[in-house]
Amino acid sequence: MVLHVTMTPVMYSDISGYAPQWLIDYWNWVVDGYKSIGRSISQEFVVDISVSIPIFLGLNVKIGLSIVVNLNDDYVEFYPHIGPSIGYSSGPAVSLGALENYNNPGDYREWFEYGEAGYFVGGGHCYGVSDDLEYSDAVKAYYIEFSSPNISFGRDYYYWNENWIIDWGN
Amino acid sequence: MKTGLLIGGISMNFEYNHYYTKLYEMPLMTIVVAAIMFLSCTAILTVYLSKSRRMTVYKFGLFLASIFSIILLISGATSIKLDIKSDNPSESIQLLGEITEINPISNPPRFYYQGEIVIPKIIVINETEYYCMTVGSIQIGDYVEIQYLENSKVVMSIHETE
Repeated sequence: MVLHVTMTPVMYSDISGYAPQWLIDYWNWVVDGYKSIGRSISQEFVVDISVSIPIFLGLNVKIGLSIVVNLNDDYVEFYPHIGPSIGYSSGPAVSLGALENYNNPGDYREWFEYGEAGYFVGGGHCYGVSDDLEYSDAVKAYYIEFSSPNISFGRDYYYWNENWIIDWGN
Repeated sequence: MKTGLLIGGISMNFEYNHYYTKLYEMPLMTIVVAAIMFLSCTAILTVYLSKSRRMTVYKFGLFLASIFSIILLISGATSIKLDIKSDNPSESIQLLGEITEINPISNPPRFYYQGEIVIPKIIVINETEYYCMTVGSIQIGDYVEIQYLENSKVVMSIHETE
C-alpha cells in the first residue's frame, strides 16, 4: 500500500500512535543535522594535517596546515596554524570537517578554539573566537579525526594570506 | 563610538572598539602566547639536546614548533598598532580626496562588519596610507570623505562623494 499526502509519499508511519513526541523531534533533529553536514561537505570542507607535541605535564603545542576546499566557487586556500592546548595529545593527526558560517576566502583565519577527542578515530569541533559575535554566528568546523590517542582543548592561530589561494573557477 | 555622515553613495561607519581589539589586544595576546611557546619549546629542546645529540621525531617536532612560534611572533608583532592606544576616538580628522591605491594587508585580522567577515585594506589618499576595516565596493579613482584617527590612521568612517 502506498499512501500520499498532498502528492507527497508518506515515508514513515507510527501505526500504534505510541511514539513519544520527544523521540520524533529528536529523530527529525538528527536527520536535519546529517542533511546539513551533507550539504556543507558537498560544497565546502576542510582537510587538516597536524602534529601535537607534548611540552610539559598536559601542555602541548599543535602545529599544522588546514586546507579549505570550496567546490561551489572552485578554489582551495591554505591556513598554516599553531597554538597551545591542554590535555593529552601527541603525534600526527589527519581530519576532515564540515564548515558552518563560512562564506568567503579568508573567513577561516585568526584564532580558533577547539576541543577534540579520539582513540585512533575521533572527532572535534572548533569555532572562531571573537568578542564581536555570538557563538551561533561564528565560523565553525565539525570534523572527524584520525590520530593517536587524543583528548585536548586548545586555541590555534590560523595564518592566512590572500595570495595563497588556488582558484580554478576564473 | 560611531562617526560619519551620509552625503551620497556608499557610506560605512566603524567602531573604535573593534579596531582596538583587533589591532592592539589580539596581537598583544598573540605575541605573549607565541613567546611562551617559543621559550618552552626551545628550553625543552635544549635540555634534550644536551643529553643526546641524536635527532628524534620528538626533537624534530619541538624544532618545528619553535620555528612556527617565531612566525607567529613576527605575525603578532607586524599586526600590532601601538599608535591606536594614544588615539582619542572622539577626535577624528576629516579628509576629502581621491583614492589612488587600495593595497592588501598581509594576514589581516578577522573584522566583522554588519555580521559579515570583512577584509581590511590600506587605502591611499593624497599619498598617505589609511587603514580601513573594509572598502566594500569602493574602488580606485573614487572620491571619498573619510574620518580617521590622527596617530594610527585608522578610518572611522568612509563614504563616497559625487
